[in-house]
Amino acid sequence: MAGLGIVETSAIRLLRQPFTQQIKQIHISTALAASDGAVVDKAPRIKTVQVYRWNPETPEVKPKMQDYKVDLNSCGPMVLDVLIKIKNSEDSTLTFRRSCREGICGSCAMNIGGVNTLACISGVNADLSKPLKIYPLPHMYVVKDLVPDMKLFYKQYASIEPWLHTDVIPANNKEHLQHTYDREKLDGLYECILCACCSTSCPSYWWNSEKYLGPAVLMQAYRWIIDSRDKATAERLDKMKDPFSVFRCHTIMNCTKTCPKGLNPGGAIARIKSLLSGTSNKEEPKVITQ
Amino acid sequence: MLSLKLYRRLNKPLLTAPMMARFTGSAAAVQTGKNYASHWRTERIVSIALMGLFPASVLYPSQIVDTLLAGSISLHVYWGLEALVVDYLRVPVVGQLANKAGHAAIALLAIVTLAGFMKVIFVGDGLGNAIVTLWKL
Repeated sequence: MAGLGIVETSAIRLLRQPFTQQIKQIHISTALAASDGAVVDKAPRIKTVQVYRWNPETPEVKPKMQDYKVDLNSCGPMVLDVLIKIKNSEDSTLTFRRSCREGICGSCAMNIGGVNTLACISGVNADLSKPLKIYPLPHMYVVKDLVPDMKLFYKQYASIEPWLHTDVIPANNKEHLQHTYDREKLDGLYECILCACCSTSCPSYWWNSEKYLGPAVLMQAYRWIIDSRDKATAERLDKMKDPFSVFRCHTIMNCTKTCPKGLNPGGAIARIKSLLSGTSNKEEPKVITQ
Repeated sequence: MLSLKLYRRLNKPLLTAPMMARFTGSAAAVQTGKNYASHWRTERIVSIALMGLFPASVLYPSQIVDTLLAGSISLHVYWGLEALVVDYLRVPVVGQLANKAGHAAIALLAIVTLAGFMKVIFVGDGLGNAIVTLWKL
């Protein structure tokens, strides 16, 4: 493509792409053009941010809400951007977990404006008259500030043995093949990032977290129960037939409402209940023809 | 501690170890050994039956339908309140005594409710007619 100018090259690139991609490109370029002009002088937009603070080194000081003022014009759009800005420029003692900043690691799960969600993928409300309130995940032991203790959660996750159990030796001696029909059953389950937003929004988990496994862990349990390659279905189900592990779920559905990844743990729990009670059965794996 | 245990378990040869052995000695949440699944199914059946029994008792008033309705309501109310006691009168929070008292109170309430229904059915006008009378008020 020598001999062509930048405009021609980009025009050709645009024409070669599928239609939806073209639309996206045009949207992005208009958005960029609009934001270019908007950067020039703006009055500061001061947002009050109230953050839960507690320091384990001063246990005699009760937990409190601390106010910070953040100019939204000099800050990224997400709640995590606000927190990082406070930590960088105002108060380095503010403690919170974060890692990927794009909603795939689940580290920055916290209670923002009364909703359990990921700080990195929830935008700051532009209404400056209302403060932004940030608490740690509810009903968890607090390690410091916004950092909850996840020990029990991880222990429960380990208890469902979230890996493949099978005695079958794969035909090619390498991998366990799965029909696409069976693979589709895992969609909406494997995407869970274990941020614990759902479990900590569930009243049943608040009251009985030692005995009830909670939506996040139960959805992963279901993910392995219905996996066509897993041969330990009966044992997996047998482990959770007691009155607490699964059956403490009262279908409150806070889990599904709050899930930052748009998954449905409540539905998965309902399916476990139906498998346990014999109302439905696990399908036989489909035969793969190659 | 946990991670070490997990590490050892993960490193067991999955394809050779007998399956049951792999499932024993895990960090299982609770093992009460009680099977709650059939209880749960009965609860669902009673709940669904209630939807039919209410109109049935009004449309076809008879002692059999009324008795079924009375039993179902009492059971339904008992299980609902039992869930409340389990969730809100937990032993570590309110103590063993209050928990036991809660369980006893709802059991008593269910029995009194059932007795009351029975009186309406076998001494009074019947449950279906009672619902109609209540509606007229």
